Amino acid sequence: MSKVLVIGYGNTLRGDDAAGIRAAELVSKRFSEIECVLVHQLVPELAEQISECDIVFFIDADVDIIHPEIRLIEPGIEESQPRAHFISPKSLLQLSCKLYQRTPQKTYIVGIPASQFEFSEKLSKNTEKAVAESVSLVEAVMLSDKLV
Amino acid sequence: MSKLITISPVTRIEGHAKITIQLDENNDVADARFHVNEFRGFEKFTEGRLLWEMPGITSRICGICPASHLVTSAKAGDDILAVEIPETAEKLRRLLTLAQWLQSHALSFFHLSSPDFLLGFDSNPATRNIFGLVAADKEFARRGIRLRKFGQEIIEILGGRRIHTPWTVPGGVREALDPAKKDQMLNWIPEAKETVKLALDAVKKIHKKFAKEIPEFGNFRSLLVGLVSEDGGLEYYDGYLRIKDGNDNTIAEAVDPKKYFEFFGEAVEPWSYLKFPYYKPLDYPEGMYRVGPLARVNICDYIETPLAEAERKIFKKLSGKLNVVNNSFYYHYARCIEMLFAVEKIEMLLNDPAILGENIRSQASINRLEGVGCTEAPRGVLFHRYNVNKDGVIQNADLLIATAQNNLAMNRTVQQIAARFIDGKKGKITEGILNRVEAGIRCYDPCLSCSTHALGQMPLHVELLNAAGEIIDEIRR
Repeated sequence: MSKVLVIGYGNTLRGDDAAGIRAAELVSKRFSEIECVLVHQLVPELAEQISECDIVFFIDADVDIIHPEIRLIEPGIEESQPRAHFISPKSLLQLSCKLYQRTPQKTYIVGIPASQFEFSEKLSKNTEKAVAESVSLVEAVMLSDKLV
Repeated sequence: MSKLITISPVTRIEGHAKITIQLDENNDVADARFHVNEFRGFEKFTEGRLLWEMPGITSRICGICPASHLVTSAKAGDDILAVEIPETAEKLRRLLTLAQWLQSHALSFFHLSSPDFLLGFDSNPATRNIFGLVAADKEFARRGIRLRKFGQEIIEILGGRRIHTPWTVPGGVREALDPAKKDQMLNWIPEAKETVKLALDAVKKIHKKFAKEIPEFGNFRSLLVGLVSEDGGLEYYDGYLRIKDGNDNTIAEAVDPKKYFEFFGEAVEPWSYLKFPYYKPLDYPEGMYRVGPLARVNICDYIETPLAEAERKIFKKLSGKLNVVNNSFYYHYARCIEMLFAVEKIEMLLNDPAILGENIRSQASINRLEGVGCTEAPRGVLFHRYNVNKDGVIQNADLLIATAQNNLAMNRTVQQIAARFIDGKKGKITEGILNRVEAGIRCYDPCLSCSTHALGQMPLHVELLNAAGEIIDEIRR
């Protein structure tokens, strides 16, 4: 059976920025057999854990989309100067590849439309709806790829 | 005609900052300033909140060293409750504090500064980062990442999550340690020790590699401030403040940390949001002092763990006749010694049967209207001082942060490096020179989120301006 990792990230005190975390929590409840990590931001330490998985989902809030999206990504260095305190999903995959000579068979980014980032522990109505839809997207991939 | 060189923002530090370098009529460096250009103001918006919320709130000042704020805030709460916390709670808090040191120091040394050291200040900035490090020495990079992970894992085990854990509270901690988790942490120790020794070996090679640059890399005398135990040992959770000068004279001894505000003032300059703490008896700016690894390893009489103590003795030999190491470049070495101490002490704490005690919290209501908490955060001594009303509502909060306390010294370091490496007559600044100036700042591992308190990063933008404000040269990265 494929080893699946779901990484939800964002700031739970900044309104819609928590969308990735909320979605990952829901995915975790739906599929108890998968591994789920909730983090404030992506950091290099995750590279090892990622390298040990077959399928990885990164779930994050996205201000540039209207509907939830899911897409495959490949390893690569996006930032000209990667930051130690934050690293992008592509760069994190690249780090897994370089450090551990292994990357997941498939890695998905799940984007959730987000618009309100004021101090709040609540999602906006649109983002709350999109969180539920994004979970369905993940579920559909998991079922079609026979991951569960 | 004078010229102004601006480096904005400074990279590979936490937060936003810029550096300006003022040239005089002869195109020599006349002045240099480290500007922190953002503001959050946690002290103000904690007013009106309950004392018991403060650890949770103040730990959100920073994503790098939240545990330090958490423990210090809880200690201020202990003081207001007027309680002595249970032995197990203190040991667990000590464990958390050391885990914070380890993960923060590992980040600073392996992720942030090593690219400069292993690849060189003049190497291609596009690869002078963690990927460049991986390409140059994969095992070194991998071990650094894992060492930080060890620190993070302890924090996660104790607090239930990696950052912003609400586990430490006034009176103690919320949950006892699960015995199974103790073994999980102990399993890391051999690898962690090996990795820190690797870092120490690397530091010594770095000292040789940069032998020509080090003498003017923040080399000056200043006061050194930190906690020591009752008998003068390296301390990180309790103890007393010791203040020494750059000639190894003890200026103040056995100072009660709860009286810190009687000894340290905060000056303000119009060009930075970061205040300029100083030692009051010497006034501003003569009362410049340094805190953090360099100060701590300098001022203590010994380190209680054997391997770190052996390294401390080697470190002291760098000082020559003075018996005090005044060069800020050696922050890195001191940081590695503290990593070794942290690993050894974590092992000791985990093997102490008291760490598994069940009595973890003292209960009390408000018994004092003012309280001070003090610990050694990774970057230096940290103070939280709260005034509350009889219901425990915060009336006033004062946070004196390590990075701010190093502000005067960081400025002095920038001035020294700029004067040594910038040739204003050429009217041009190179990437390598800029990186040297930035690396001077990175010696202190400043956390601007804590000290002002801000988040975020931008690409580097450097401008060389003449007195009329015209751009003579410009670099972006």
